[in-house]
Amino acid sequence: MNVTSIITMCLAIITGLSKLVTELSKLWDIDLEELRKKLKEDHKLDDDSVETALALIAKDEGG
Amino acid sequence: MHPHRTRIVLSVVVLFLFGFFPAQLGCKSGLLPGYRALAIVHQAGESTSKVFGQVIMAARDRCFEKHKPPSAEYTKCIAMYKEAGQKWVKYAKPSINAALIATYGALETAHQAKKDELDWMATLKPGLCALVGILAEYKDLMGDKAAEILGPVTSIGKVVCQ
Repeated sequence: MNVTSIITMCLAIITGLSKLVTELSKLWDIDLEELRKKLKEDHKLDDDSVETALALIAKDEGG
Repeated sequence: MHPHRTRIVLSVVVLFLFGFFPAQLGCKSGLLPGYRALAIVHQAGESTSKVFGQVIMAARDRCFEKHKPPSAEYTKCIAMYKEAGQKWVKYAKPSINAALIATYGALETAHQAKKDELDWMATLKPGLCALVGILAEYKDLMGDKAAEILGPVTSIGKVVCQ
């Protein structure tokens, strides 16, 4: 086996691994980007069920 | 083939495999646990708010039927639920919201600066602990639903909120 064939083999391995890394990165990015998108739209507590219930109780107590 | 050259070529390949490859994966993973933790605490917080609201409203309906308000009996009947709701509104919810906003901001800043490390737990901790604290305090009042909500945050909370 000469240097040229070793380099060719190594380049093939590197190319294959690079493609694998790219594909894995894409999968990882989708997960991250989806989470970022979801959290950008809603990352605060918006539900006001407790406030509504307390307002009703206050109204009851106030007559 | 010169053995020395072969060694150099193989060394370059090994360096690539053990350096570049893990680095590519590693730099992607740094902030993801932070975003996931943020989403979990947000979800648990929203669920807690809804369950608290439902429990207080159900108690209000029961007390309303038994003791027509305004009356001292009604006030006594609803007192525990009212106190829980007020603690949620005055202390727990603002703490959780402040932590969620701060953590989201820190994660986004780090993401845009292409940083792969951030102590996101430092900003999320006060909110997480406020949530775990109020759930623990009122778990009897919330019944079976407390366990459902506590599930995702208990494991983190037990470690972080000692």
